Amino acid sequence: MPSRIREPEFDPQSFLPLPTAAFHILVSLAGGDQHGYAIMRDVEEGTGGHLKLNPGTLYTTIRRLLDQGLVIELDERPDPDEDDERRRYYRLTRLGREVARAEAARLQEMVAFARQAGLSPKRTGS
Amino acid sequence: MKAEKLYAILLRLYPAEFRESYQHEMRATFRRRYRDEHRMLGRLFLGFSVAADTLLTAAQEHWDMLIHDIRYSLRAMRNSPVFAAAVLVTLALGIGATTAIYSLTYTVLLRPLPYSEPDRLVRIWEANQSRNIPQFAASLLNFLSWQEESKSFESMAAMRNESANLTGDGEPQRVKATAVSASFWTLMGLQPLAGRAFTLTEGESGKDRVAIISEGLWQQRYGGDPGIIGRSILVNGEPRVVVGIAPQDVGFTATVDLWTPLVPKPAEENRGNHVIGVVGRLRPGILPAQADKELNAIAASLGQRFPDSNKGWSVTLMPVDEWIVDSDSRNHLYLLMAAVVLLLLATCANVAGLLVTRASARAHEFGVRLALGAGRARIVRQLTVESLVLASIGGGLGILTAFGAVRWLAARVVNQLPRSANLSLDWPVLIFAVGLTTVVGLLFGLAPSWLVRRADIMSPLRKTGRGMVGSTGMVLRPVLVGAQVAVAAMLVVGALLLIQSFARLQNLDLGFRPDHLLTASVSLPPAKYPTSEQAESFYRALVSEVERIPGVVSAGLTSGLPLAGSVTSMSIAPIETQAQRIQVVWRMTDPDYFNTLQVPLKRGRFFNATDRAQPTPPAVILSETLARHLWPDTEDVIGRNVSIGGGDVASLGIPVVGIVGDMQLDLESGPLSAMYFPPLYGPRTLTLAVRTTASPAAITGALRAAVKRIDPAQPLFDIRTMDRIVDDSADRPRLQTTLLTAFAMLALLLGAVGVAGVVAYTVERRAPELAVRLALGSTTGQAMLTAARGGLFASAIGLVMGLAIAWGLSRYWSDLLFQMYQVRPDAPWTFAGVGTALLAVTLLAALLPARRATLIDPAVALRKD
Repeated sequence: MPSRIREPEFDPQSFLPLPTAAFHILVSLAGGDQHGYAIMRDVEEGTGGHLKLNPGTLYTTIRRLLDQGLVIELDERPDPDEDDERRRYYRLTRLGREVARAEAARLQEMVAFARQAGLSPKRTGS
Repeated sequence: MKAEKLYAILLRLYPAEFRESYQHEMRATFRRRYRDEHRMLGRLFLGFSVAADTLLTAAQEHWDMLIHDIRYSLRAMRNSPVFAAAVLVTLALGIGATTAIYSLTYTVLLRPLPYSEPDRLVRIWEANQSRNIPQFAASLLNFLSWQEESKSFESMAAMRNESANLTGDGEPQRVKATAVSASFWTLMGLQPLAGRAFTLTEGESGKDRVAIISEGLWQQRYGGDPGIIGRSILVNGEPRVVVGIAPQDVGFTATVDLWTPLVPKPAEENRGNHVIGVVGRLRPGILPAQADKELNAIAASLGQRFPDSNKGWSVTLMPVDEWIVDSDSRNHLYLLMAAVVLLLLATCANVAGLLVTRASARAHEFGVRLALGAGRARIVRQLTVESLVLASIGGGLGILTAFGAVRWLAARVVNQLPRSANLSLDWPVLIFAVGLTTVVGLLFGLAPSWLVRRADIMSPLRKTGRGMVGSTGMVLRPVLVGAQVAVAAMLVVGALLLIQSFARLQNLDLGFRPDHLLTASVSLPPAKYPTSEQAESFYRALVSEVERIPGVVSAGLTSGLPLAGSVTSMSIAPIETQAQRIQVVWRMTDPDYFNTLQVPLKRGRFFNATDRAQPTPPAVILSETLARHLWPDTEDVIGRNVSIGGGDVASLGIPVVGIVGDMQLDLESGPLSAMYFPPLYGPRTLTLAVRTTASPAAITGALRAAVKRIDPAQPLFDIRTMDRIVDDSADRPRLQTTLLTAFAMLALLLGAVGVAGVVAYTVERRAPELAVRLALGSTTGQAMLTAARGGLFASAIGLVMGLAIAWGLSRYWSDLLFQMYQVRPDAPWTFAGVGTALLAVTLLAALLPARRATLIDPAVALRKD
């Protein structure tokens, strides 16, 4: 939304911790430009079907990420999966990538911390 | 697809702007997710999950936007501090004044009475139509007859005002006391704070040595000691056991400090002695009109049984709330409310004008945002939030202002209006203030939004940002200015009429000289002074002691000073024409009283030491107006006889011995007719008036000492200078006049600022045109007129409308003033004066900024476009 453009703040740490949905969206976009539905599918697959983003969460989060300058909106172009459907694509900015990396590092530290406390994650038998 | 249609409806929950940006994408995403689910159950689950998600995220989105808008508004305020300060000060004054006056109205009129089922409580008066007495105290015997014979009431109680001297426990102190029927507390549904109410047996002779003291007296005299209950105190020299502590404010009064049981002694009473107040609780389902009918039937029958005392007397009933807050007080409040609402309207118009100007100045900003794709709804929302932010801060400041104003008012209304003893900003008033702020914010927030709604998107960019709200702004601003001037005109007319009335009140010939007079009252307890001889010797000793004080010229006694409240009245008629009796104020005065007050003797003589009041008055002195009323045809009235009182009281002929000048006895109702009797010394309050050569207050100590020398246990109370009494008697009109004048001045100031604002705006907007005109040979006068024309035209229309409305209301207004102050204002002169003065003010307000039109540098102005 043009009225809400603001100068991006360049310290990635100031965005942390990221909301779960925001982190997943950034991770999904790290693999390349995507439109909304594809992000949703990506997140669903990446979490083994545990996290299904609803359109509301998805787009309000995208709106916020746009405001924060972590992603940008690309011009509409056709969705290869659906004929004649023009979709909006999103791309990770450099700041977005740094923020996602910082969040990943933060999560890793947390896991390491949990391990130290003897809380090794159990392998889930498939 | 049905599901998608439902989803589209759900999407309406999002802010319009968000919806516009994303609904297409969201619907597509939803469609595909829906398609992925094949089973009915899965789709159902998806539906619920999407609905819940939409609700949550839509709320979040609205909240984010609100926070964003508030931040934006605060930043906008910081960027134009003068504008923000103007709006906030205006709002603080408008909302503060309105809240303060509402607080007064709430405390006096709207606050619930502290009684159980107050609708069933009525005040019962006696009335006498032939003597033109609409309400009068009842006689105790009539009260007992009503109590016995009526069936409409659950119970009735009598009240009699008394004063009591407290001795023991420190300095002697005189307190305001009321004797009430033992059933009074239960009847009203009032609870003592501690202890108990009177029992019914305490209303019997010999069992009545009990008292209830007020919270205030308990704190002040007994240090709040809870052990006071059950203790014996000395009231008028006799012991009474304190059984309870009463709340200070019992609804109809907050000044009574001592409550005692009223024990009827029918053998000692006569039916013509009207001294008690009566309240009654109606039986459930009985209407006041039914009770009225029944009591009047009883009164008519009493009139037949006791024609001497009761002929012509009827009964009138009044709901307690109308009794407690009389119509005069209501009128005062309504007047203040009306004035403050006008002021609030002027405030809103002023702030709306400021916002419109600002919206015009920001046209470029809005134009750019519109062009960049911001929805119109988005900008309207932003503007509304800005208005609400301004209103909230202004309202907060207004509440702070109201706190100060209420404190100021509280000190001034306490004796002027009933139920105003504990004036403060209560919760209901604060809630009112918050509601008011919201309404005001939305109201003036509408103005700029309205402009944006109608704005042409393209024009601002084409015209470098000054066209957008210009055209509509040019219509709306003068309307707002006109409204402000109209309101100011109405308020100024009202204030001026009030000032006129007040000035006349101040210039009234009082009929006596109030300067260099000290007054103080004494109330002798009957237990200590059982006979009138004892009382008389006390007072004679007092007067001679006082006259010996250095600097004292003379001293006199009276049962009631002029302008000091408490009116006693009786009927009078020439003995030869007894049928036409009129009700007239009476006072007792000793021989030196008139001299001390310097009331002129017109004919005959003052009283002398041999005029003794017992058993009936041996002589009467009349005021000039009364004498003329009783004998319109002759001035030769000395030695003629009058009959006073009704029936068995004293219908004997009493000779008129003197005629004195008229005195103002009560400023607001100002009865000039009065009759004076020699003093009946006894258990009543007499007031001493002392004329001094130097400052009267300086002899206060000597006066107290004089009383102590005669009786050390005797308190002296209500010590005031006569100047002070005169001043106090005008407190209510003074307060009214002060407030209304302040409101009018404020409205006038706002109006002037509004006019100046619209002209300044015109100058700025039309600078290039004015520059061209000046360059082409326009005189500065013509240029100024061009610039000021719009503002002047608007204020002229507003002025005419305001004066027309004020003129339309003036009949009502004049009646109200007459009712309140017995004076009528000179309406036509006032209107002409206000018209001229306001015209001058608006001219000045318009021409000051218009002068800037002549200072325009054509080169600069033209380059701007």
